[in-house]
Amino acid sequence: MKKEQRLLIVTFSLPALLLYIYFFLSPVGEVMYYSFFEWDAVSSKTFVFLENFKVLISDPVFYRSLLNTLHLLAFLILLMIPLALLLAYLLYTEVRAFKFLRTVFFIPVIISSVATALMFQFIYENYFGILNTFLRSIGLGDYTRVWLSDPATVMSAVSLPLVWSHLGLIMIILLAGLQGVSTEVLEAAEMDGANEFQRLIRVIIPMISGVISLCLVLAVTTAFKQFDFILILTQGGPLHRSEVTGSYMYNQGFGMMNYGYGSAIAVSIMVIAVVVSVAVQKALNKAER
Amino acid sequence: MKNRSLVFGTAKYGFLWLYAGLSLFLFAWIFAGSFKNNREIFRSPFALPERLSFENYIRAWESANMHAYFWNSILVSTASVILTLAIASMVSYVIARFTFRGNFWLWGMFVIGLAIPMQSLLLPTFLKMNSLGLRDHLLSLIIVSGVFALPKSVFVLAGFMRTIPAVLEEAAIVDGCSYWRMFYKIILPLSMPGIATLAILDFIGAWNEYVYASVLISSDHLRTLPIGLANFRGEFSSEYGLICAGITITMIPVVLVYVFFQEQIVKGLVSGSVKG
Amino acid sequence: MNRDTGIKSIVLVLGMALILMACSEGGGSSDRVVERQGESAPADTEKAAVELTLAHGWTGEAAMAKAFEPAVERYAQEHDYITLNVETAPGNGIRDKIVTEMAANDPPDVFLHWGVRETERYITNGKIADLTDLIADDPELNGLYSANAYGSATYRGRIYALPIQENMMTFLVNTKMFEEYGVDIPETFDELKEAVRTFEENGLIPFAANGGTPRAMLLSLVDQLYGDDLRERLIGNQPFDDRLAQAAGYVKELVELGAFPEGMETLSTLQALELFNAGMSPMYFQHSWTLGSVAEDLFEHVEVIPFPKLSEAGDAYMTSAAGYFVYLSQHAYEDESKREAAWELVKYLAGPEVGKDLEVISGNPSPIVWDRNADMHPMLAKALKLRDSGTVKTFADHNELLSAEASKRYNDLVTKLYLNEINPEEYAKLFEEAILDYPNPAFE
Repeated sequence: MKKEQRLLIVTFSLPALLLYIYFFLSPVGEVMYYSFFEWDAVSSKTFVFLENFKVLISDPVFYRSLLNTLHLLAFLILLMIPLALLLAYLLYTEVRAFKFLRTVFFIPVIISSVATALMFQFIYENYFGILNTFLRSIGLGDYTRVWLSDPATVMSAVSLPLVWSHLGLIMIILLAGLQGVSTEVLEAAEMDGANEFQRLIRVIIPMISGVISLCLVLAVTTAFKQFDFILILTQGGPLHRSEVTGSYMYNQGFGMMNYGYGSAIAVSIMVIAVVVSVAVQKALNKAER
Repeated sequence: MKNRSLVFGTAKYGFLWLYAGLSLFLFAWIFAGSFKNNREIFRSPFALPERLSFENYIRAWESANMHAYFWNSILVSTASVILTLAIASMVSYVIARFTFRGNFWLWGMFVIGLAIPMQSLLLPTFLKMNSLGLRDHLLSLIIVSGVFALPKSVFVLAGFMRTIPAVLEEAAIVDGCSYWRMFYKIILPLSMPGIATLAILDFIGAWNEYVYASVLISSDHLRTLPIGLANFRGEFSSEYGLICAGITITMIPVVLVYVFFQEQIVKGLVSGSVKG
Repeated sequence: MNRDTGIKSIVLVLGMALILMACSEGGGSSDRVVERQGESAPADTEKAAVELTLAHGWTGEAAMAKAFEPAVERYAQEHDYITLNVETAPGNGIRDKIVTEMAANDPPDVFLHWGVRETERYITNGKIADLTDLIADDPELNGLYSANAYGSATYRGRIYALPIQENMMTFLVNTKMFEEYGVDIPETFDELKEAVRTFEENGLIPFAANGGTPRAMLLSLVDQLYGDDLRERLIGNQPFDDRLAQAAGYVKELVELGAFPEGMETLSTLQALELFNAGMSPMYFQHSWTLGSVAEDLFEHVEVIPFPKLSEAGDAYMTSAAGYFVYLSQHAYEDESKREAAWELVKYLAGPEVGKDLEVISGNPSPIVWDRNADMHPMLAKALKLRDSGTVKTFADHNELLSAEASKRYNDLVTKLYLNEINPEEYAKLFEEAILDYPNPAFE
């Protein structure tokens, strides 16, 4: 290897590598380290080793937050991706006002999550909120709910803004995938007499499976990292009904100053997220083969 | 055959416009609400405002430092995107185009970061920024958004650069071109689709970042748009019309930017994500 | 192609410039300057320049902001040598802000907060200045406040803050609506239930309430049932008995009668008040700091009444005690250059000038003892008239006597009670357990 080449490898790698190690990898180590302590960030640390994790595995709120996180994930996979695929497909089949529709679908992506959460608050508000007023005006007043508190609805209520705000991005990605499908294949399918729906299921989906699996991976990472909406809409409450792992960590750390316990939650989020990501990747690889 | 396509056409437009209609109705409701006071909202939530009063807008603009928040957001998002892309493209170039010991490990180290949810590093990052004296400083947000976007960026860019045919470089070497020139004359331009996609995705990510900003920034004049708006809601939680005005103010510029640049944005998003 | 490259390089240069800007923009924290007067300060030339940070939550729609924010600005203007950095976080947001800044070891020099229940951890870790001696040595403070105003700022016999706000629970009735529906103003609990029934049948929300309202009612009911014996029980020295569950049962009855808005647990205090202001609810029972937010056109129809009595022979109770305070950080106290100015600021904020403004302009009761004859805020005038009439006994908010953890559990338990997750007996049992499991260290 030439000297010039070696020099280049070092100088080109170092900036990214140093920043990445200092601001990303070392916090990963630090959060593990803190998780062995009982610490409120004000007084001195007490080493408790695995005590925080022992508490964690018998903490019902933690399990609830895990289930709620899976609820978010389920909404993204079972609602957002199919809906995005359907909308992308419909846009793909020549429509009038294509640009306008695409704009309307994409705008939620660029609106800040705080604005989105506040808008959804107006949908769910008990007395004048859009949903309850609408139900009352069409004579379904019995179906009105306290959407952001009722245990039966609260997780769905906080999942929907997440779906709404990410759907546009997924749709654009899928639309691009569809535009890459060669028209000959589609024409051939049409000759076979397959209807639009059959064509979508039998021909198109298999052809863009690569793009769909990219969307699945995006859905998994989104579900584990997102809790902005929950912090703004419910703070995880009432009574932890809408707590997800992220909000629970935040509330323990910055709300109650349990930095050690908050770190233990963070470590378990990391472990679970890595396991789920690897599992999804494996499953997708298998499916592709 | 004709009948069937008619049915499909109706269903198609019906569905597209139903979903679009829901979003549009939500925007319209918020916009109408921004001209109302609480009693109007309570009495008839779906009615148009009784009069066109800009009082809510004036108050929202005056009591919250919206324009300052706006510039802070632009600064943080732009700077962090530039930071990410500058360093990620260099390290991706090394990973993708050179064979050396540790190449795989270098790549693997960044890629493993993909699986780690960035929010789980909130506590140590807060403590670290504090000990560096960067708490309550926009640079901390630039670093957070910039560095946390590295795994995705390196993954996409290294993948992208691997697909560039080696013939081009070989020709360049024959011409006596230095590696540096090769990087920015050949590799970078050819990677533009991937870079464009990342720039847009990272920008959106930094623009919307809320949790880190809410923990790291405490001064009013350093707030970004998301925390500015959240704080505004906290200050005026019972003045619903005013909140609607605040939401509208923060949305309008973003929507305008998108409408003007939508072709570039969509093209940028599409070009990298599908190939990458 | 060439033009494209040109644009790209401009964007790049711009970006770099932006980074540079961000880096040069003041290396430290809290550099927001509210008022900085020129160097020419004839009156105070002898005082050295000093920079102070003040953090508070009295901003935005809270009525206190109307008096407090101008008062702070005035102070900065009148004291040329002080550069005052004001940091705000609305309402309960101030708690998160102080937690974060304490963890960062960068607390504000002066800040507003609740009693020692919320600040115990800062006190035990030496983050907050002990003011006991400063108070004792200061003649200005002698007899300034009502009796026991330091109660909730006292930790193991030492005083850590000056009181700035009296926490009362006030029961407001819209007399016009009572007349309209032919309902008498309730004096007993049975009459209250009757009133709730009538309003509910007429499609109104009887109480403009949020989660704080059932808790306030429970306070009043427990006060009535236990009277003077309550304090020892709340600090864990004596056991409770059946009466605790009985009080919880009464609250439950009101819940079942539909006295409260659906989803009150999702409302903020002022959001709940809006139901009262908009004429959707005839009754409102909440903290006195919201008095200044009652709609002006309701003033003449609104009366402040005692919470209805369980038995006609019993005493009526009203929650009232100093509950919000001004603290001085240990950091500022130890800094010779800051100590005097910071202490002056604390005294100003908790002093008569600001206290009177808070009462007159914001309708927010102050613990300052003064001759309240002036044009007092009309709603506060009614509340104070009742409190000082001698017809009601006063007792502190029970939270003031609990440890931080017990208080948190207490609030959760009340929520569980009205959301039907536990019954009154379970409530009583769990509340007592919380008191015994997490004793209040302030009294040890």
